[in-house]
Amino acid sequence: MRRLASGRRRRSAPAGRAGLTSLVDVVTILLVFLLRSYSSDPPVRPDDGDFQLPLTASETPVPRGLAVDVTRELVAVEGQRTADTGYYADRDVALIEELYVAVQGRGAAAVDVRVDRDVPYRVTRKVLFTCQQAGAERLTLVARSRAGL
Amino acid sequence: MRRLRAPAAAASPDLRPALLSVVALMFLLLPFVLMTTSSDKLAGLGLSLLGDGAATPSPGVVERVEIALAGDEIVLRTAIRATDVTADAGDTVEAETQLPGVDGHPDLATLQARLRDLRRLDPHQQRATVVPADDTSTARVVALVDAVRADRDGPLFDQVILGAAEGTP
Repeated sequence: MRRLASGRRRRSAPAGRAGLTSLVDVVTILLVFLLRSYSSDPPVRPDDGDFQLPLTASETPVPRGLAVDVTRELVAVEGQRTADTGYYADRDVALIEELYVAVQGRGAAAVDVRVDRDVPYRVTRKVLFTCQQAGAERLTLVARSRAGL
Repeated sequence: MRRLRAPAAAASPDLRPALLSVVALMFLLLPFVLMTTSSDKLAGLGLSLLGDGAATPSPGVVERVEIALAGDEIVLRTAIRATDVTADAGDTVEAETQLPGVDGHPDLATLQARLRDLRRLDPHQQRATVVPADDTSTARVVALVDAVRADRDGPLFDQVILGAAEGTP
């Protein structure tokens, strides 16, 4: 009886260790995967459920600049509604005046433009042009990387 | 004999507590990572606009590369320096290639093949102008910019300049 008990004890200890080691491996792989595919960037327009950024193959990190959001309804600077997208989509002008004043007033040299995937290029171009005219030297179009989940 | 074996068993300490503490630490870390991060990984596409001095002609063989997109059709316009013995200095050959869409989408694969040929002709040219039509969605513009910047073999024209179709404000 004593022999049987000691034998059982000797066999169970390495088996438990192997199980724990594989568990540590799995959790480590999971952590590395999550750290690689997740991002610490704040969510873009969490209050607007319809807002969707275009997808890109690029993985270049977004440099921190003045955030200009362009949805199907509005143009916002740092979350503040500045102009109406539909109004400027139909108007035959190159510059969005309200946006020009907002960007120039903040004296931003770098602007991150976050445009909804369905917004037509005529609006995107006017936004980019306006930011450039307002003094932004570096324009970045923000998109959702395919490297994310 | 039995006494001699006993210290040998004590030499291999039980690692389970240490491993369990690592597992516990990782399980604590997991929810923290999930709460503080987002599954949306953002990427930035640095762009220039036509007219801010970025489109000066290149001194290389390939002087100008312009990609226009209207609907699902791509038009590739190039200006390549003439190397013919009869050509004068500074002479260029301008070409225009139309790439019709495939299943309602722009034929980006064929465009990349053409751009790769141009890149082989002049490896120093990195600039291309993209001119989407006014009604093109931003998603399609970004897909075209991606295709112009790089293919599976590496970078193509990574300095993209956004232009506007003629007659637009």
